[in-house]
Amino acid sequence: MGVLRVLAALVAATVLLAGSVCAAPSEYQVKAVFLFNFSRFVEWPPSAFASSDAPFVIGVFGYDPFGNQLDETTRGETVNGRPLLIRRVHNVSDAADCQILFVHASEATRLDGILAVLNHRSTLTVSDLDDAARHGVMIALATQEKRIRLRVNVDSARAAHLTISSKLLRSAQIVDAPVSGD
Amino acid sequence: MSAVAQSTGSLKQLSVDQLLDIQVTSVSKRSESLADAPASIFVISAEDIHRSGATTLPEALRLAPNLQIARADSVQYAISARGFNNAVGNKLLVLIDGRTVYTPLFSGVFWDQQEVMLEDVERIEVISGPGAALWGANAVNGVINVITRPATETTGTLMAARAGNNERGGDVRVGRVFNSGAVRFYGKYSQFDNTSRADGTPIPDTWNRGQVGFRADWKADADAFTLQGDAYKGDSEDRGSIGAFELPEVTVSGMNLLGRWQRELASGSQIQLQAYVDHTDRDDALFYKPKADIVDLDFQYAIPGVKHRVLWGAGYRYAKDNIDPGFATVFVPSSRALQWGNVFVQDEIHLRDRLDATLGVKAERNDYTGMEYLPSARLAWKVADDSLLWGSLSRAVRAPARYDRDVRFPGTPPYYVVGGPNFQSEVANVVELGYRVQRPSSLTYSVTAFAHLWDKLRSGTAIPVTIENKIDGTVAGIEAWTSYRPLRFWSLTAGVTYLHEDLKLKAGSTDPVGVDNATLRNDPDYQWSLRSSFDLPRDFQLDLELRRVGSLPQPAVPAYSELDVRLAWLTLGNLEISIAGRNLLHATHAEYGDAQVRSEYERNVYGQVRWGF
Repeated sequence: MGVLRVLAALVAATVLLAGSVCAAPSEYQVKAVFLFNFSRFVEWPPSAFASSDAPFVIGVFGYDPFGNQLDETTRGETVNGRPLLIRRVHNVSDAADCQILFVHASEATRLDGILAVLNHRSTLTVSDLDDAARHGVMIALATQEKRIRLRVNVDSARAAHLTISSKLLRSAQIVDAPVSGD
Repeated sequence: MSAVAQSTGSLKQLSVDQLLDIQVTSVSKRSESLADAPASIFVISAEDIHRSGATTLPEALRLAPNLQIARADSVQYAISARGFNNAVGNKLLVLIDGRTVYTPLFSGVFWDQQEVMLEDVERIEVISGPGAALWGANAVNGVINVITRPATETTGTLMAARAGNNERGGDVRVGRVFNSGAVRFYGKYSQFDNTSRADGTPIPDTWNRGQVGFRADWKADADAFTLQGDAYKGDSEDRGSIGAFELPEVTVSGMNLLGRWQRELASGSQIQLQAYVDHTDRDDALFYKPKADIVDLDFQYAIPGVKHRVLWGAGYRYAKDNIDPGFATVFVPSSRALQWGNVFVQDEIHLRDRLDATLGVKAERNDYTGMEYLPSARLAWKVADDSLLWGSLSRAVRAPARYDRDVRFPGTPPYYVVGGPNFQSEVANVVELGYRVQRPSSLTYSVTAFAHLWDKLRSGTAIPVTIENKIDGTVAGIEAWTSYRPLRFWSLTAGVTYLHEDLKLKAGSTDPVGVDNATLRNDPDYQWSLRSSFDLPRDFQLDLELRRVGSLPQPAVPAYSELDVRLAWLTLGNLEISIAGRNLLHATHAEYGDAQVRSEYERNVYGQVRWGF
């Protein structure tokens, strides 16, 4: 099995060589950065927090596509002095404690239930279901030709007393659709 | 695609517009939702195909751990899932962009006539197990869905040329944007050298194949349209003669045209209407000379919802063939027009939090056995957010084909084998249980156990053989695969299947061959594969795939291990230079057929240059 021995050596050598390696960022690496950026580009009313020292919570509802990328992106970060926490949310009733709630496309069947419970509470809803904004989700992270597209339902955000910065809106597609909970 | 180093930290420094401009590596929406489906599904990604160095569709299919693939000569393959792998394999449904590519002749696939521009394939979904409730008869042991990218995603020019000791070829694709969509044109040419027997005698299976095609996708308001077509021609070398019977080269040709219209209604419901025509022509003096014209219409209506997601539809298929006899077979009657019609409905029911059921049934009518009912029930329980436990019960059938009812062997009387006028559908009642864990950035694995309870499998009487349905039994097994990324630049994929076949002749059968029949089953007990992909510094990629396939019983083929290696270098942004070696472990090896006459495959090493702009 001389060939196998040569291969083993080859594999070992490549593992040793490959110190710093380049790769295109993964879809969810970029989406994690978007979620973090939303904490900078959206204003929450004081009523969105249980207390003045309550943390700022980004929730991931159900299926978590990020692995540890969202945790890595937000490690050590604060939002207006509040520590930023990532929380995995499994019940609709826990969703309202989040300032940002991400719902993966595969949880589409649970979307209407989540929006009904949140009903104008100041939780920024985000989903990567393509037409999420039309269903009342505030920001959809759609993927088109390998690039991420922002679709914003401004009326939904306004109904929840959230103010989205023009810096974000400028680069987003505004979606006219019914406000969630109506 | 240039790969730019992007750490999470540097991504955070980018503006919104810069982030929006980044190309991300991504799984498509549909394949994500498929990953949630309660079935044994493996998705071969475009990147997997590219990095494997495969130059043909059957070789790319080796990436799916749930398929059994045995090469029969330079371009012929036996491909199946869950057993019954033979050159007239007829229990697997294969679709290329929604077009069924099986021949009505034997309900199987002439793999030497199927070519796709592999660079433009978005993904290949490989479902092992029955898909009959959605896809109909013949989707008994599995479904292969080859899906090419929409023209809007291939708007550049791509050129590739390759040459090696066994094969040579080149591909060109040109894509252009027009106001509401895009169109691409492609051309592909391949040459394959002949194979040899173990004793060195050459087999006359040199093969040349050329194919051209196009695909256009465009949108208008809520409507999306696709129009695509292909035309191809291929031939072997002259094969000498059997006595006075001349065996000139095998020639194949064909063309197809497909249109698809999709509309999203204000209610969120979706309508899809698809129609295609497909002409195929094969001239093989040894076996047969079938020509077929197929017209196929398919309608689907999808209704979204929270509690129920309903998909229903209907289809119609018409095939007219003309089969001139070869040395080995003749079909009586030589020409036949066959029709199939179907309706189906599927409901995905959200029973309660984390628990979903999928109920579906297809009713399909064929000219041989009339109406066939193909029901399926599936239950999926999301044990945790990243893990799914699922089970299914289904009934699937393999409906009769010309090869069962109308065939005569040999091509001139007296006949030793005669098609069975009473041949019925082969029936499988299938039970499956699966568990799947998906942690996208680290470990993913899937394990499926299955049992196919078969009845009325194809058998024969004593000579002169009349084809009938007197074999039954059970085929059971396990399919498992996993992928793991131990380091950011290194990923591993492993797959294994284990198969146990327990078939027997039914009482009253006079079949002289029995169940170890080369046209019924000749399957390995096990196979496994291990794939390793490295992203190396300076835009080098190294891929290794080691596979082992267990021995075949009758005709006996020894177990074999083989290794494929590919090293690629991406330079100047869009020029890729690669060298690939396939079947490197042995000077030659065999995968299929009788030891006296079968093909042996040599080590195949080739270089490829690919340039996209």
